[in-house]
Amino acid sequence: MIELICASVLATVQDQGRFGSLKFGVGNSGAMDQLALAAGNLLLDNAVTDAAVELQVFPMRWRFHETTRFALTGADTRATLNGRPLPPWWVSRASRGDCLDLGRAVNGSRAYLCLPGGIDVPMVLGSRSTQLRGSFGGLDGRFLRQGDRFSAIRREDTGCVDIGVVPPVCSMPLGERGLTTVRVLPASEYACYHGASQAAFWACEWKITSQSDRYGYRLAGEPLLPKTPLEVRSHGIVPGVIQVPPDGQPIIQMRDAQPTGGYPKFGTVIEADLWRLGQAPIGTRLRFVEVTYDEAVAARAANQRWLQTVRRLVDVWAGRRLSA
Amino acid sequence: MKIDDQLIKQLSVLISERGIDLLELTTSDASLSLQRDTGGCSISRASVLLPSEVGSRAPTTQASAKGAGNYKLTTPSPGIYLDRHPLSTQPLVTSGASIEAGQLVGFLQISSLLLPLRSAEAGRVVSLPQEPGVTLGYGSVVMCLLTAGRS
Repeated sequence: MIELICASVLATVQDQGRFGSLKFGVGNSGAMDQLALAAGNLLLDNAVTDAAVELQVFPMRWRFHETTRFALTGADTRATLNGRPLPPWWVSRASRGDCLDLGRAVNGSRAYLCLPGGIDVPMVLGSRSTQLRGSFGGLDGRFLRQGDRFSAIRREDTGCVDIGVVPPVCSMPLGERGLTTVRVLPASEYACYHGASQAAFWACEWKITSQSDRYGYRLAGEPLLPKTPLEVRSHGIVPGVIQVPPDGQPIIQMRDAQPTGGYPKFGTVIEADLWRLGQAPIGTRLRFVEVTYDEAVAARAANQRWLQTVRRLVDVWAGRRLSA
Repeated sequence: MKIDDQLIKQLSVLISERGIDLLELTTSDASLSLQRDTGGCSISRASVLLPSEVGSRAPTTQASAKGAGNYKLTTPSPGIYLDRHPLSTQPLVTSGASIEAGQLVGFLQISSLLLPLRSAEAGRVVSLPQEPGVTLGYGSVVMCLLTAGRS
């Protein structure tokens, strides 16, 4: 069991998401960096779909009330266990009474604290993700508070510790270092915009404004102007959709996006790159790169291959250690 | 497989030809450890443990070799030597630094996997003989340490 022993904001329990309920008006939720969550789970021999705690405001302190393995992935928070530094993207063992401290995040904005078998909270509509809008899922459908305690689902746990994985931002870099770059498919209303706006969208850097959160990122940059005023009926939207409200400043829908929206759709960040957005800090800049549908599918396959490699290597190393 | 003089000679030739720094072999009868000298031409250390000793050996992830007044940290597996985490711009240790037993001093990268290189002893770093990014074999020396008790 672990306990959050400091005041905190914006931390939630998340798994890979709640799928199949958009028709009921229930959004996907789920980890903003699904690769980091999956890698943390693989380091613990978990299913990639198991739930973890998503952390995004630091510093933060946790106390372990029993001996357990844990994995920490995502942003590098200069974590320490009882004052001893832990590498990022690493699986470790904590003893009863140990304190885990997470400092200011660098190289990303969200970290994932994973436990063996995942975090033990009730499954709601097929997922343990926190659905903030509906106030269900996760821990009572809310952000975590000081004093909250969680248990690991798998209490009898053996496996390797003190190994890590090379973060995907290093294994699968995209664009300039230090500038978040994501690949985008033009969407249904793309052709309705001026050529100059289309060109600016791909050429300019876009600032992630402070009005950005798990629901969506509001961007600031060259206004995107339609050739004629657009009236669009409300329609289904998913995470990654880039909408353009009348002021011309785009919004990217993120994991807690509502299932419908009425703004014109300029493009869609491909599923394979949503994790890059999830790690982009507020105030930093983004760049978009146009891709084809086939390239988007290939990018998703590359993510899956990366995860398969991590799974295989962890399995092999765990096997070697057990037979040593 | 029986560990005898002939096998040791054969393995000595093999590790010299293949550029292997350290070879450890465990059979049901005994355990053999062969270490190549720094010049790479001859065996500087050969040791055979009997069954009772084999049973008492704790499994280790990192082979180490002690000399007079120093400790050498060696790689537990083939892999790419890193002196820092891939996300970091600073090396974990530099020559002359004092380190504690158990301190992380580097990584060994095997594809997407990172293994820790931790010092088993406290002391002062004398040298870090490997270039970061180089691919190393099993048993390669990555750090030479003047141990705390002897400094």
